[in-house]
Amino acid sequence: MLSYTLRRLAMIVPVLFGISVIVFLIMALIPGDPALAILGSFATPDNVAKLRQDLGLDRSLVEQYVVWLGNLAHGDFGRSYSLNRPVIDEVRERLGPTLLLAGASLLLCTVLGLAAGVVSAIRQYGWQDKILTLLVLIGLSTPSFWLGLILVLVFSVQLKWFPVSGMYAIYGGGDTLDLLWHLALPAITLAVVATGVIARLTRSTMLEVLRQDFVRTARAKGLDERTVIRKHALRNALVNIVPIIGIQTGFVLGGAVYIETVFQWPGIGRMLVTAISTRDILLVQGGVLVVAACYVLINLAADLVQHMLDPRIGT
Amino acid sequence: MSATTSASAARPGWWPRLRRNHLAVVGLIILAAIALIALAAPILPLPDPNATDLPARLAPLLSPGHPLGADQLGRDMLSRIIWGTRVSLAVGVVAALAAALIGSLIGIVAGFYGRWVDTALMRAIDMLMAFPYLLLALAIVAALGPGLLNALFAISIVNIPFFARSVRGVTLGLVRRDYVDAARLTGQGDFAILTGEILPNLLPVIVITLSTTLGWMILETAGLSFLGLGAQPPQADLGSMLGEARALVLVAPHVALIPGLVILLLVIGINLVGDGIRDMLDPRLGSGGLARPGAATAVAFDAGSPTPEPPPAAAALGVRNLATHFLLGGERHKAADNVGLDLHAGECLGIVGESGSGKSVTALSILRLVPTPPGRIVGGAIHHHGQDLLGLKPADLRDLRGNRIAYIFQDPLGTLNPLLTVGEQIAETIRRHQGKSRSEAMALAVDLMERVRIPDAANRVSAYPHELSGGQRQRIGIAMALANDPDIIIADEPTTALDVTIQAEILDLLRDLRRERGTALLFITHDFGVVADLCDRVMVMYAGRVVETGPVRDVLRDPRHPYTRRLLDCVPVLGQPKRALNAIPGLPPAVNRLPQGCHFADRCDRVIERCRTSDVALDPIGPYRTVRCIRAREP
Amino acid sequence: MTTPLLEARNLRKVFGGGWSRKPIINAVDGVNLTVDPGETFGIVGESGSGKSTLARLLIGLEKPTSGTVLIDGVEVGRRRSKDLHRKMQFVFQDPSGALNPRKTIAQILEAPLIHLLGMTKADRRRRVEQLMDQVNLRTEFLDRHPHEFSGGQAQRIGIARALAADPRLIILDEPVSALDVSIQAQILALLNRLKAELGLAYIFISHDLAVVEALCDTVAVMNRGRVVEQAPRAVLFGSPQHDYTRTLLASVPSLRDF
Ligand SMILES: Nc1ncnc2c1ncn2[C@@H]1O[C@H](COP(=O)(O)OP(=O)(O)O)[C@@H](O)[C@H]1O
Ligand code: SF4
Ligand SMILES: [Mg+2]
Repeated sequence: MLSYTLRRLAMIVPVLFGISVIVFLIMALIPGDPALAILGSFATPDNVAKLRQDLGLDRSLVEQYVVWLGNLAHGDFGRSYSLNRPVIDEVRERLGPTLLLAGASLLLCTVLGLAAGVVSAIRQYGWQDKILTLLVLIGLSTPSFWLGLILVLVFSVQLKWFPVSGMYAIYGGGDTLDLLWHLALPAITLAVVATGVIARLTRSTMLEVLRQDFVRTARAKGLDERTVIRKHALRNALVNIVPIIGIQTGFVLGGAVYIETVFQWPGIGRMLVTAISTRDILLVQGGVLVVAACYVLINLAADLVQHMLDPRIGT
Repeated sequence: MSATTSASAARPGWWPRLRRNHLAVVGLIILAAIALIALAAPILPLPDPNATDLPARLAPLLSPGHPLGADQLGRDMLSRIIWGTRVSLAVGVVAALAAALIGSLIGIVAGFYGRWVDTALMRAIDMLMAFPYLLLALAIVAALGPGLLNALFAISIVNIPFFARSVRGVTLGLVRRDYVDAARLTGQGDFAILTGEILPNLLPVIVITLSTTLGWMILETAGLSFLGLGAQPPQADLGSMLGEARALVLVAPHVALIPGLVILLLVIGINLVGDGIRDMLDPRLGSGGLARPGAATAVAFDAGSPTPEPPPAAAALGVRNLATHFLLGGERHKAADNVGLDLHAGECLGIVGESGSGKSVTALSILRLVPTPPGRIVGGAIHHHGQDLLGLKPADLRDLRGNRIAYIFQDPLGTLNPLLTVGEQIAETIRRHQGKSRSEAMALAVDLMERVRIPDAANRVSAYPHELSGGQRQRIGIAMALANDPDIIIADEPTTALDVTIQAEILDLLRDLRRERGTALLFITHDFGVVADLCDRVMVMYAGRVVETGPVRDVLRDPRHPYTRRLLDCVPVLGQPKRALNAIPGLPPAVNRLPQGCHFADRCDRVIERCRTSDVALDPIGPYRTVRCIRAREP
Repeated sequence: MTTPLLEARNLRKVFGGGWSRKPIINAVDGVNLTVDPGETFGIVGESGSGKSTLARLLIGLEKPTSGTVLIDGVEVGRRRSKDLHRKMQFVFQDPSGALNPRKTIAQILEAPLIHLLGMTKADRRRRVEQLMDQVNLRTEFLDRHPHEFSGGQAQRIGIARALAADPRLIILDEPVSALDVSIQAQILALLNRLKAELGLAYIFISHDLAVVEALCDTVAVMNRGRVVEQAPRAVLFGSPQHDYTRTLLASVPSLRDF
């Protein structure tokens, strides 16, 4: 286990490196003069020249990359022009809310998705299966930003059960309960699609595993269905499901962009959208890099869990 | 290899198969309706979607002239929705096709050329996958600037990895197929092999991936537009309409909600059709999924089936008139029909027959382990020391399984749970039936492993199945069967997957254990040599029926059924190379279209007319011998 | 002395090692053998003994780590593989796995005629029908797809494909192992007849000693990548010299006493 963990840890170095190259290259893709693009067409030539120098645009691409990477290593992500503060500060402030939102909905979708999938598989073609399958289909097809609006309309505006937006109440909020109260709707909205994906995968994986020979062996030993399903089928199914949960994190982190916009959640997603419309390239760069790095770590965790479940992997 | 079961049953075409899936048809109707209306937009009598009409702003639903109301600038919602759908659909489809094309190409090249090409391409794809899906798209839009074309481009790029990965995976598998090697040997070059052998077999994966990703791509482009990063005014797609109306959701909810509803409908339609296609192309991935076998075979006697004669109470196991059928696609496969057998205490009865003759189905029927669906026991009686097994309550059946009657299966890898240690898998059955504690059961497991001659059992007890060799795994299977000292062991081809030297060791082991414990053994094999080596009596099966039974020596020396006789003539015997191998012409009949009368008639060299007209009974032809042939008494 | 049809000199194939960090496996470890025209050369061994790797080396589907294969005295690799495959063909173990599920039988059988022999369309049709006849299959089957055939029938198609280019040697890698005995006997009879009619040489690979004894003139026993014993059939089965051969022979459950 330890050696596998270390090996797997070593493997994320090239991945992080690759991510940085891609982000760098995308920004190098910006058509025309990035300095002009960043400052807009009303910029004075002086400002443009200064920014070009700041960005190192007068040097070769490789040189630029090396300098940029060196800065990153020191935690220097550049300065946000629209906010007029270091990118790293802004990103650091907003990472927490995003991770909280994503984590909450990941928890929701894993629990609900697994439960729905297992029930569906065990009651295959029964009424529970039919209802769940229909719900899953709708969940998978729902635009989450639209669902968010509906939930706000119904539960916040009409029923007044939940706040319309934000992370804390403006007056007198700030405790955990208040936070959870604000978190509920966005987390649920964000979890809907991923729940569908996990439920569907769980159902088909369980059905597949239940047909395998070792399940027949378990039954031939006289084990009862509960043991057969929990100890033999579900465990084997989880080996296939865990990496997909890891990948779902990617969808959840991405989907957070919509949800944060709809619910005015002060996370990185909303920051990115604003940054893109104000063409604050460095801010976009920093945000994307940090979230991608988190995602890499989450996938690492999923891998380690899978390794714990499955003795055949690694060693 | 079961003869022509699939041979003559022509597979229905794709349309009838898709049509049988009602949900897919619903999806197709939704999708076709939306697509048709969107396509017809230019010829429909719609107002200009961009014509503003301020007096009508935010007109509610069903207003005169504006059936779906009007938006904040008084533009007609119906017209805007239809034109917007057109844009959304077009962008989604184009993005999907572009991603499919580029991704598949990368996947094919990587999978086909392998080595460093594969490594390089897949590392690059991994890098793209290392980003949260939408974030990469955002970064690309950030660089290129907002706009519908850029959004399309971004969504396309972030979907390329899905195609590249699944296509590569399948290509890798295809490249190793024998028929690709065969194509090389027939002189075909890389290009011919790629286009002729590999691409046609890849199309299903590409279509499947397309059907899963198209829905997402439409959702995600709508999402980018919703954020204001896609379609720019005055151009509008469903997402941007929703985004612009977001602020008005309290005042005029319909302006925001209707575009979302259309997206939902569109994507539901796409997903339903996609599920239908997946079910059709690869049942494992689909929403329907494979049927889940129940805990015990269903027992449902056919109406009017005769009451079977009760088996003798003296037998450890007595089976009479057992019929186990499979119901597949409206057809009835008579996998085992009218099977009878007696197994006495301490005896070894061999069941021989070619594949598909019903040996395994017979064996599994005894403790009702045949999968339902599609299997079902439709008639007969099975008694264990006089106790009727077919009428047992599930809990009582479970008490018997692995306890008084135990199984050993063929494939020693597939029949062990890969995630549990072999010790745990043995101990589990001890705990279940003897109520021992975990540690007591583990200690017994070590004893059992020593008994089946696994060296260093105390350490191997915590090994996982994949860490053992095939022969060792089968020893674990035997240890599991022995765990509760059963009086009957049913072994279904336990040595077929093993090398001869290992087979010899396992057969030795079984012989010794039988001598020590006096366990009765029902031993299934297709190898007459093994029967000769191990069994007291033998039962020959053909096309779901018992055709001959008797003491091993008598049957082998003087087979009375033409099938037994001719089957023995087909077996090459070591040390007798000059022995002429006389093949039996033809193939066994498929069990879903059995001929009337004798099942062997089409291949029999002694067939007469009477053989085909009426059912042939299994008749005694001497002490302890029965034969199902009307000419068995003739010399 | 005539040149042998096929000769292998000190063939070796090593898998793994190097970059891949996988354990080094000497799949084939210094094998020498010669096959004369018209001979049936048997190779027996247990799973993993290197039989299939050896076969793939001989036919050129795998490149040897060292050593050479000579056909008619000319080193393989020195000439175009098309020339090689006109002389030497291959039959696979898994009968249906060796047929592309999306092609018709006619397309499958025509491939060698097009690519190896460059035949015209009319000639091809005639030759394909002749091949079907030789393996006892009806010509109506030509327009069907592989999934419509049983294992035995699929193996006949595989044999017909190997015969198409009129080779002098066919390597058969466990051609009957996936088949039931009654079908196995049909295929063995077919192989014997084709050999007599066409003067073919075979390299016949199997784990079934009785089958090899029934069919082959010379037999080599493989274990862990090496040929441990090689002798004419009667000698090898009559008075085996190597311990491993003896163990193998003693392990076979036999009907001899009945
Ligand atoms: N799960 C199943 N679903 C459908 N048909 C089956 C299933 N299992 C067995 N059969 C059919 O039952 C027949 C007998 O099979 P089986 O008992 O496995 O034969 P044997 O063990 O003698 O090789 C075959 O025609 C086979 O296709
Ligand atoms: S009943 Fe007739 S056809 Fe059947 S085996 Fe006997 S002789 Fe042959
Ligand atoms: Mg079987």
